[in-house]
Amino acid sequence: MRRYFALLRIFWGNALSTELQYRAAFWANAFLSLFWLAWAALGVRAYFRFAESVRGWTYDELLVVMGLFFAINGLRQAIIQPNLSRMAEYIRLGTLDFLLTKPISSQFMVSFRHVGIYNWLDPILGLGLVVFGLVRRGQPVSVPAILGFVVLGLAGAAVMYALALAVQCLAVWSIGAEGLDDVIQGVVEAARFPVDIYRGIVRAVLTFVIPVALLTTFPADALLGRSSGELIAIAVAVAAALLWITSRLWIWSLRHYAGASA
Amino acid sequence: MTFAYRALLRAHVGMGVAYRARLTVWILSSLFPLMMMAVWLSVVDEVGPTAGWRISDFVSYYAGGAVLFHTTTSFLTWAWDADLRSGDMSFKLLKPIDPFHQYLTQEVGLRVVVLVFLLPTLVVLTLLLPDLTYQLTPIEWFAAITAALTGFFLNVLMAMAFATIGFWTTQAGNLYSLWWGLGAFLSGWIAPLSLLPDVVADVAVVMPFRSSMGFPLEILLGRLTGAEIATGFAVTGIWIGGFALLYRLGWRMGLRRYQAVGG
Repeated sequence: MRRYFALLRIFWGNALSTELQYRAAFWANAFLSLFWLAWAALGVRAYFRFAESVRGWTYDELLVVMGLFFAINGLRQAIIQPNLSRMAEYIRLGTLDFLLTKPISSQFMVSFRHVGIYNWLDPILGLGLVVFGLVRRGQPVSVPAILGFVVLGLAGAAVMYALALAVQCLAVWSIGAEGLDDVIQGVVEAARFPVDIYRGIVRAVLTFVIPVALLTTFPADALLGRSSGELIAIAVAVAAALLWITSRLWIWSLRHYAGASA
Repeated sequence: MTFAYRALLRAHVGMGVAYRARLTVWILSSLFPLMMMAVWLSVVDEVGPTAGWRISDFVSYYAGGAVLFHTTTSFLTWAWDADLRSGDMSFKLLKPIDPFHQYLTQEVGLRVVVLVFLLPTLVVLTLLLPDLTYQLTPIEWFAAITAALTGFFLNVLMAMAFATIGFWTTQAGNLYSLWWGLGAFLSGWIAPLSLLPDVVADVAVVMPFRSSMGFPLEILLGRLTGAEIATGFAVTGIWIGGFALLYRLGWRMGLRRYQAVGG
């Protein structure tokens, strides 16, 4: 385990020192992140000209979800997208074969080798919007609520990672992996609003089939004091199960991988 | 000239077809308008029609909006930026036809492929969903399609005018993103303009963003009078002229600065 943290420090430290050479680009990105955050927060105001709340979510509460969406989407762009988008190339050029010979977990290498430094701004700004929404709402947040939020937030991040790993497996099978990172983007994009806002079958799919609700809705519910111990237990169980299944799936799909030259 | 155009178009349609798998994923993954629609449907469910907009209005608006987004939005500024950095711009300059036409046909070619996918989908959906209908006279159809086409042309010119900033700075793409982001509020993309505060709707009418989104959509929903349609086309025409001038100016001045990669 210590070895993996050391490796992560080297990989990401390298990325950081590369990007820090471009200060102007950093500030441009910071400004753009802030702009898109304000854009999203203002964009949903239109609904609330006509209704106090939509499906039990007021504007301030929606801002909490929106902030969490930016946080989780930022994590996607920082960690998942840089690695997933390289997968097609790994397979085409045979880099994957090379990675497999290294004396460390191949799942670790395909998941965390690369990182988007600028995209770490989005989670920070997103959490800022969460706090802003909570303050505007004006109701105190209890310590158990924060603890529940932290647990559910981690479970949400784990679910997203598991989905991404499943897509990596898909890439190994289907070789033509172009555009697979867009699939994850679509899933995360659906978490922009609480799942309660969707109707009927869409909501059921987003809650039970692709657990989008875990990404933003459930953590937000916890912060707003609307969560239960049972829900948290179920969420953690689902996240753990998905992590376990997808890492099995990764090993299984490698067993069926014949190499670049085959 | 027409011969070269035909060849360029054919090449670019071919390019679009070659990447069609990528295209379907791209279309599937852009759920934004559908989500905006879902929220409005929930609002109507709870408080009844908002400012006279019923379920069927929202469904028809956002379905049309999704098609218009994929057919009229231009991100040429980014393509141009990439060409400047990689040096592909030099190849484009070597060809005996102005790069303007090369970029224009590139955009048109892509749209042809997108349309081949999207239009049949939309037609099938209108047959399946009773809420999704466009009841228009032939003249209104003609006006809506013309509005979409002129709007597309305006967007391409606007993107190219911004692209020429790339001769001076590497931030042209980002600047265009900001411009587009502001425009999303004034185009009818974030929400139908008549549901936004009056000030926003009033400003939107004279800005270039509505031409390719809100304007054709409002014609499609039968919400504009003849005079309003005429005004819309006049505004589009004026902006086309304006951005054509800006582009020409930016191109002339920028080209003098251009030294190609490694120059």
